[in-house]
Amino acid sequence: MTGPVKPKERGPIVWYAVLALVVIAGVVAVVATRGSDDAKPVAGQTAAVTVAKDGADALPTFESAQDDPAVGTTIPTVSGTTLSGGKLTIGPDDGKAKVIIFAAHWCPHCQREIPLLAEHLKDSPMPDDVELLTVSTGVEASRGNYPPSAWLEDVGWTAPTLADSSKSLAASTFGLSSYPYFVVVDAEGKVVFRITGEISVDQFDQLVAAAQSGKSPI
Amino acid sequence: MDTPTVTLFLALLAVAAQAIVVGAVLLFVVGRLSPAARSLGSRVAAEVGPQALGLAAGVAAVCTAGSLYLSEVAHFLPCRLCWYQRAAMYPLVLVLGASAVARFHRIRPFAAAVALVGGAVSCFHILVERYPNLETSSCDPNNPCSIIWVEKFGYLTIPTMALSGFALILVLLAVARPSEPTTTAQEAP
Repeated sequence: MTGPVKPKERGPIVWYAVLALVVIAGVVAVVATRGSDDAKPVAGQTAAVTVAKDGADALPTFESAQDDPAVGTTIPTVSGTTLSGGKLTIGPDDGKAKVIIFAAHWCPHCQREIPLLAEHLKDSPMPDDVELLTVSTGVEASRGNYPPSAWLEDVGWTAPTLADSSKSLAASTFGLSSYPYFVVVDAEGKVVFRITGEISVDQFDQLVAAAQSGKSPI
Repeated sequence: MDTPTVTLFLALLAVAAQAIVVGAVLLFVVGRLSPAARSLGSRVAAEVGPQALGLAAGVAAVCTAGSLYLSEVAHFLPCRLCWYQRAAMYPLVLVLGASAVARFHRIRPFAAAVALVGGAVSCFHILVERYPNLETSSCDPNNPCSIIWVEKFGYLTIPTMALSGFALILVLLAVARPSEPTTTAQEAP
């Protein structure tokens, strides 16, 4: 005759195995990251930015290249420090046409765009009458591909690059709504065209031509 | 423990989860052809099966704790797709935990459906990380889904870890079964 039914007790072995796995992973993680300095802020990646009070107003936030209300308006004047420690002013009064690129180190689109343009500029440098300027903005040490100075150096980016403030003042003053962001300015300091998102090298060449001619590419 | 340590810890657990999932799938597939593999698979399933609901709840709990650590302690802002995955993972802790305690094995298909949806979102999120133009050609300054907060071993990002969790939960649900009854012989009166 058979007696009362009892469940098999297999649990502890499985749970001990899981516990051992978790402990091993924990020990490996602690040992492997001892002395790690990941995500610690690096000096000079953000810096104070000044907006000239007697300069033009901030540009409206970019929404669309079609019927952009910023076109024809004078760009504001922002001053600050470059990633290499020099001084840089971006404004309308230097008499130079310019293409200004706003990029964030963690943005995957910027991570594709900047090396693409860096490679292109090796073969097709900027014309003498158009200046290429960059603003490194949206900087956060906890996000990937940090610090931006190392990233830009790695990809061979040589254009002067303004370090935006920790609150991205330069970007907001120029009406940034997403990265990467391009502002095309003619020699009189007026906005010719604005666009956001990844562009091809041919489109970039059109932006340069637009800065030279003062005529929108669309 | 600081953020790099915790993220590496979570990544190692994800690798372990992937190894278990791959091993289970291999056992299942090879078991169709080889009696030895089938026998091994049966033994493993018999060993793990009665504990599988509890283990699945544990996996969901670790994923939930990891996700909360990354957002609340490491301050990695969860994006829209992260929230969808959270919506699938978080309830599994309670649902599977309660079912394990109550030995309510009929929860399996419903929990599996939730895990499948979560895993599908993880797959899409991984694609968006690798091919950001799938969603848009520019980055939202606040919190785009394409941002890669963590990347360990060259491929393990946060949604990859989530997918590993969902996959392991699915495997555990597949092998979950009530404890096999055993009889205890008694001497005849």
